[in-house]
Amino acid sequence: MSQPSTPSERILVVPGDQLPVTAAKIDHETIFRENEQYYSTVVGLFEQRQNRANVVRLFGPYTPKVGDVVVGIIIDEVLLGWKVDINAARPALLPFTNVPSRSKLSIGDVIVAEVADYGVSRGVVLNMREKRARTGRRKTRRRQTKKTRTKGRRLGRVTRGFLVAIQPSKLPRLIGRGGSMISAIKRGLNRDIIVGENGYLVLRTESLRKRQIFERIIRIIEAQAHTTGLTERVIKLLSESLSSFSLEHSSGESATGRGSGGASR
Amino acid sequence: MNTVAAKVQQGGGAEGQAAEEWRRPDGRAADELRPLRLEVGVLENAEGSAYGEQGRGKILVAVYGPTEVHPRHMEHVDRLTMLCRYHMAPFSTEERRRPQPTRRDIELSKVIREALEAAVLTERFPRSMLKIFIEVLEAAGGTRCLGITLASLALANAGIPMRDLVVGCAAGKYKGRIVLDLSEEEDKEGEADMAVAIMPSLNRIVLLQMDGELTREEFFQALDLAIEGCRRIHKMQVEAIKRKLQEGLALTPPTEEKE
Repeated sequence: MSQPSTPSERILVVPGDQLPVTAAKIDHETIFRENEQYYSTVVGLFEQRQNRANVVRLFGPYTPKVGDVVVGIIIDEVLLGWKVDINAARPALLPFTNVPSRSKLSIGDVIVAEVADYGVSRGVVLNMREKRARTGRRKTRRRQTKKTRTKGRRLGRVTRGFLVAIQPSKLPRLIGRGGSMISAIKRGLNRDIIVGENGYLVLRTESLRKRQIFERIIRIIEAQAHTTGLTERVIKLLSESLSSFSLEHSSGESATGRGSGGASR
Repeated sequence: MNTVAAKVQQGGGAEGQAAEEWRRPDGRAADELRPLRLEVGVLENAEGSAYGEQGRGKILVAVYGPTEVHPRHMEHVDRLTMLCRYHMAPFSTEERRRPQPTRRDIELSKVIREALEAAVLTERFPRSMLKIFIEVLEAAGGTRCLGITLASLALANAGIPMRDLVVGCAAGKYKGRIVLDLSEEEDKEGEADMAVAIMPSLNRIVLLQMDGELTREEFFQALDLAIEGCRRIHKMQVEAIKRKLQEGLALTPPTEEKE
């Protein structure tokens, strides 16, 4: 716990950049090896801690992983289930069999679901049942570990709150090391935030002002994701904007009561 | 106007005395690139995009995907299907050009696609499709090279994993001399034009086309010059990506003005 908090310095890399990999484990999604050399395949920050090397992406959409808890918007009803926008390259399918019978869904609803299955040809299959997803596939141990990490996050329909999108590549920055940034924001706003691993966030509040502050913070995190000392700046900003209690300079477009569906990309 | 600007730039630089004697129609030295500007992430609606200007030429590139393969027969079970469309806008040339893709457009689409396919890790996305649109807004020679350079930036912007960036640059022969990055005029009047695209870090040639006549020695001379040009453009590509990432930094936290 103490060691990983000091990774080697992060280096900005672009595809084709040679990486000074010394770690035994490498992330094959972002690093490729040829002739005993390691190269980055994406634009991002190369980091190496203990025995793991990877590149934190700075560009690109959400790439689904089995076990991820995502926030989605129902966009269509198809033969076997609901088509759900999860901010990925393709919409996901939420089969009716994976919806608990008590929840009644309709188009436009915002849901919290788990990625039950992901295949390149099948696409993403979601699950909203707390227990077992019907994918025909054994639950892996990975998913178990994930479960504990996302404890307390209930799957199901979101009944209130605002949906805000963050670029998925910037999500790790929003959470911060060990969840430091997100918990600071939650504490600052005194509201719960559902963080979908796909970059959709739900701020559980009815207050427009809190939504505006939250959105502003998200945009700042997106813009300054690759800088250091961001958490401190965000905490400072949060306390400042909350203390200056004046609705007047709520710059930009003031949010109308569009509910949770009014997300901006 | 461009000519004047180029000349002024020349005068200011501490160029060698040998380079002083011969100038190209636009005032460049034989191994000089046209002024080049590259920009990443210029379109909201596309997953990745890039815009560039090279001399008078202007190109916009957008990347969509990976998505489901739409004409199903194009699907590959083991790799990504890449669709590339190189197209010149009707207003891109001196006289209005018919908007339908010509034989040339189709050929260039194919060679550009193949050049990019060499870099993209296509086996990571079976049964998926990636669409690349290269729209030439103004043509001024060397559009296929700039198109490739921009397309690889747009792919990087879309987060598509690639072995390397791809850079294109042309070289050729004009009035008996081997020159770099031919303009439209030089291309038309010159003896040969050679388009080259490389993966600069992996040191691989992914596109090599030639039109005209060169001797064996001239060919290698031109090839070396084009690769040298590619390497210079590659540096600008990396800078363009970094500039895009820095963009956010310019936005100071809004509270600072508010207080």
